[in-house]
Amino acid sequence: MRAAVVALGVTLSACLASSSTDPQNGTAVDHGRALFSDPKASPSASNTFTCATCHRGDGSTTTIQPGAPLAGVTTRRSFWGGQRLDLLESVNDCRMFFMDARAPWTTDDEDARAMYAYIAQLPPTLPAPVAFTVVSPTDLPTGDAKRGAVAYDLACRTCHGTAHGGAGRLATFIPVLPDDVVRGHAMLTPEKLRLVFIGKARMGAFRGGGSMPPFSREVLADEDLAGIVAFFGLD
Amino acid sequence: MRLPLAALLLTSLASCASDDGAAPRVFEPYAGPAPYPSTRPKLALPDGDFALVPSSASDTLTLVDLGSGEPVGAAPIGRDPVAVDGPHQVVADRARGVAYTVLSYPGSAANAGQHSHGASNVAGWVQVLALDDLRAVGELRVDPNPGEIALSDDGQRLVVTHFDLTAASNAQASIEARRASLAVVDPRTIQAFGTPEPDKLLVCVAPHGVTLSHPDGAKAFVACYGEDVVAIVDLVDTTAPVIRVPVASSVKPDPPVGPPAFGPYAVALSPSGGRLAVSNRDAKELRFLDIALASMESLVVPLLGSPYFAAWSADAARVFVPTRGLDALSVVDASTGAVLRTKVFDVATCAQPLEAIVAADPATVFVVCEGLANVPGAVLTVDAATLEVRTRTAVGVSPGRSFVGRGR
Repeated sequence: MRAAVVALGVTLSACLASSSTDPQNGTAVDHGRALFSDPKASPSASNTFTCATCHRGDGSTTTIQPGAPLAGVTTRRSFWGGQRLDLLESVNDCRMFFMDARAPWTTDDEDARAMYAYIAQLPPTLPAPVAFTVVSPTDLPTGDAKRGAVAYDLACRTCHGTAHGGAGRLATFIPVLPDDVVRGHAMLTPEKLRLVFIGKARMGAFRGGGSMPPFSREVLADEDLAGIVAFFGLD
Repeated sequence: MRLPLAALLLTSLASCASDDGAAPRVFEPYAGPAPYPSTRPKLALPDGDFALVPSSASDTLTLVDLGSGEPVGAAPIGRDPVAVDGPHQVVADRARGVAYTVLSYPGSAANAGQHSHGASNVAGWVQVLALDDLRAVGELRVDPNPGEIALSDDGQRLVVTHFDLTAASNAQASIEARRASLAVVDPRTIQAFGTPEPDKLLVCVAPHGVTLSHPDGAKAFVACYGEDVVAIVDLVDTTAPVIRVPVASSVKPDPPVGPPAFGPYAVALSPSGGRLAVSNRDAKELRFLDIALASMESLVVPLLGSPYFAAWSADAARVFVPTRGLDALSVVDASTGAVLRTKVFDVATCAQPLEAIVAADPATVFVVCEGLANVPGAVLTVDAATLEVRTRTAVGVSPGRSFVGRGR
């Protein structure tokens, strides 16, 4: 009996001590860093994206990401190619258009404040606005399928998984490329089908809904996009 | 005794762990300087006349100093950072320090590049902007194809028409089903996020231009393009039937689907509130509604082009009418209907005049020119007597109806 009581005491002491000194605890920056890679930046149960899906924070990446690197973002005066002048509004664009959040963060939300703490301490390597050219979907010259295969792996695979199979895609509701899209647009001519892919890549959720972020011409060159379309066999 | 103690031990261990077995992370709250500080440029209203001009193709709002003819500020607006939001009208409440713009999303590739022209299936929005820096401070969802907005003089009533040409052209539908609504809201209730849907009153087929009675907006007067009527809507007793006044005696009560014979597109209320100028776009004429009698006057003013958004002179003696087809500004004697003078614009000066706005100075009229596709529009300062153009200020592509005010 006495031994059991002692054991309980030790357990409780250890538990209480961990809440103040355990390395699992952290600063607001730590909070923001964790949130950066956590789908819980949006409370939506269906969200699978994190900020890191599209943006580089203080880590490195070998993929083509649609979002601008965030080092220096708190010193930039505009975002989204000049269509936004407020950083929090831009953050909320991501959360609400791509991450299925139903309400914006405000400056009083602790998660928003922690995210700010994290991105504000990133080295200000890119203080100027990052170019983001919105391209109206127009057809492209025939691309190089080999170049497209490489571009697909760099730009599309993170979310859509392997081409044709979808292995490793972020969620089952994300279409397998190109097969699911081709099936869903069986009534379209090949020319219009090409425009579906091009339009979706360029405008993402802002063309026809969904949750896909758009790839500007700056991050995904026309030649790469044309190559992806050729890689899909739509040339 | 042994069993409860063991249970207590297990419970204490469980409470120490998170769902996945790891200890829950506890973070310090952020305690730095105010996060997300605004770096928006402040907008200083000019001392004299100024205009707030929306561009429905570039999703911007430009502040124009009408005295110097120079743009003195601009900011991006809209809810969508990528696609065209189609802001095509702005009104302002100086007392509250806000402007209201209506976002009319194109909704299809056919309309891409500027605001909807009646065939979109994307919900429209009213966005509330702070006048000091044009940041968004409120939003209200409305139906697709919002046409025009009007704000009462006292700032307590805002209405939005829905220019729904899809419903209007449904040959299988009844006249009721072809009609679209007027959204009515107290703009002070519009919240930053999650504003409840506004009240909507079914008014007529393809309602477009709208204005409100002075000063409290108790009644709305709506140009019903698809039904060749002016709708008079009681906004105090919203159960009262909508009064639909045919713009001509030849108008049939249940018009067939197809192009309207008259096409009332815009309305302008006289300063006293006693008369309504009705721009019949398709018939290329201006007519007048007697408000007290709720009937059209016999006066008909044929014009050489299609009339758009007209403006009354302060003394109600004249009406300034922009026209298209023949891109021009005409001055009409409001008593006799005589066209007193017409200024024809060359394309470099003013392509596709959209609206006339009477300045605080009665000697001046402003004209908003929509411009050609992908060519920036302009705001003209025009001599009210001679109609000579004094200044021309280039603005964004496809400018919409604008707000003109006088600064400090």
